[in-house]
Amino acid sequence: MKKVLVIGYGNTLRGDDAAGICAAELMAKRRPEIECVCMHQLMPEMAEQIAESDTVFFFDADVNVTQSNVRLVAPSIEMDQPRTHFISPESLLRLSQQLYQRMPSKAYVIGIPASQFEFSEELSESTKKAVEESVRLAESLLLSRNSKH
Amino acid sequence: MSKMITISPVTRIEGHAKITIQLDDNHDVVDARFHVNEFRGFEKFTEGRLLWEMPGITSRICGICPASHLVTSAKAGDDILAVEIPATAEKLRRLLTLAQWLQSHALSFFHLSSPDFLLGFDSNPATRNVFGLVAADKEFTKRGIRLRKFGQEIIEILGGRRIHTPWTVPGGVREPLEPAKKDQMLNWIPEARETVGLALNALKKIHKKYAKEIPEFGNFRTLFVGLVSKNGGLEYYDGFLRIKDGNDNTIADAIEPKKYFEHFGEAVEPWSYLKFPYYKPFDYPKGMYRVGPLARVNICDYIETPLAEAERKIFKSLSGNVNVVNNSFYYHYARCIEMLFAVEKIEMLLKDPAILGETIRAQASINRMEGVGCTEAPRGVLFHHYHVNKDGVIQKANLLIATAQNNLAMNRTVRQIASHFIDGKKGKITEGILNRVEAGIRCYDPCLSCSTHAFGHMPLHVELLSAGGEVLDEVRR
Repeated sequence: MKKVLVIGYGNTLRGDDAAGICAAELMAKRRPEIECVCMHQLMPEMAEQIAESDTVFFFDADVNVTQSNVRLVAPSIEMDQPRTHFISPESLLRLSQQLYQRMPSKAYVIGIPASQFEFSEELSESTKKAVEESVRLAESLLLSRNSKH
Repeated sequence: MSKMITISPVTRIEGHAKITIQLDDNHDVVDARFHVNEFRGFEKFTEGRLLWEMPGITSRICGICPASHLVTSAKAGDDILAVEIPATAEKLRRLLTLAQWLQSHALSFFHLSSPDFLLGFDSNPATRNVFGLVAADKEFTKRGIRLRKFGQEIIEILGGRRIHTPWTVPGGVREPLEPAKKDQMLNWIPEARETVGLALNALKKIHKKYAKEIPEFGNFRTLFVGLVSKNGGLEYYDGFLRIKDGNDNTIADAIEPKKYFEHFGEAVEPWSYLKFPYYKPFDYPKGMYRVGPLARVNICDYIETPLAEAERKIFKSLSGNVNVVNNSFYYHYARCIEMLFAVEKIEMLLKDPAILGETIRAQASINRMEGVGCTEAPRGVLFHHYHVNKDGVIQKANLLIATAQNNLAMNRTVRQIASHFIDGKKGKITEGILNRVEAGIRCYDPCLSCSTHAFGHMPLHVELLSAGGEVLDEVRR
């Protein structure tokens, strides 16, 4: 099986913002053979690990969606954001490509609906359900990918 | 009529800030201010929390140097418990602190400042970033990213995760180090040492390339404050405070860190949320002082590791006849020397058999109602000062953060650069000048999220104002 990398990111102290991390943790439980990384935010140091992977899933909380959704991402430079300790999935893929001349054959951002960002270590009920839905979404993508190989 | 220039937001720093540059009737720069417009309030909302929660809470102040807050908070806890922590725990905390220095300094030098140095202050701002660096020198960029990764990996190994690890606690640390993990860290040392060597070589070329501009980047005499070991060596975890002036006179020495409040005051200005600490005996604002790499390498008598000590002597030769390097541009040089020291010292600590000890935590209840923790964070000396009740509930907290301590000097640096580079008669700020003003701030590698105790991203806003307050020009990024 080709290498799959799951990256969940967010702030575990800001309620639903932890949705990405919770999804990566759930993925690690259900699919222990897959490398799952939990992060506060994406950083350039991840470029090497991404370059070594065939498929990458970025799990993140999303305030603009009402159900978990998947978006295929391609390398690009996001010019309107700081380029230091925070970096977008698109920029990170670009960095992997430029530094290591390799990048995953597929990279997905899975957006998890999130609405409550007050100081809390608990997800809202709707986001809890969406986390499970997001992991099922990733698993179905993996299944269809494996069936094609 | 005088005018004012505003730069907002300031970029490639940690936090959100703006700069205003005031011109007089002759269009000459008369004042420049670095405004910090974030507010967080950690000191207030930690009141009522338990002492044992403080390392975990205060480490959330910052995503760049959480380990420094973690260790300093735990040290304030040690003081309140009145315990001496086990030797292994101290070595492990030292290892964590050095890993923090390494990853933070690598971020500052390679990611934040190198685009100016390697691509040029006047290069296209659209490519003056990490992607521009990759295009210019892929290997250099890759090395910088990996050096930071090394620091992050040590933090992750020790604490279980890269950011906001809850591993350090009052009385010691939670988990001992596994032997296999020690070897994993040691395997990084040759590459890390070589990468710092590359950084130093690159920086020395930069010193030559910008020889005419460097004298205008925060070149003035101030006090320097930091920790030194009991023998006067470069220190990062313990020791005593030393204060030197810009002529190498020792103003005060062997100050117990817990007595810092007797020596340092905090002034406030209505135009910034960032306080203005000063050395009390010299009053405000004459008591301006600098902390961080430049201060530490200036005030110490020696560095205990050979390669860093050899580099310190070369650094000192830049000072002319005063034996103190007063130019803030050389913060970068001092930062690279400290990276070298960190790599060497990490290797020494990992090769010490005691690092694998299993006695790692002293247990005690509340024995003092007040405690102070002090360490050298990447950006300078950091204090956590707590008052508790008999149950260990925080009654009052004061956090004196490195970036705040450089506030007066950052303002003076901005004024010096603005005075030298801005032609007020044109009433415009060119992109290159804007970037030089920002670069002056970046010498200090400020972390405004830490120092204002920020929510959101941290972009720069520069305004050029007339004497009557009219905005003549404005740049935002």
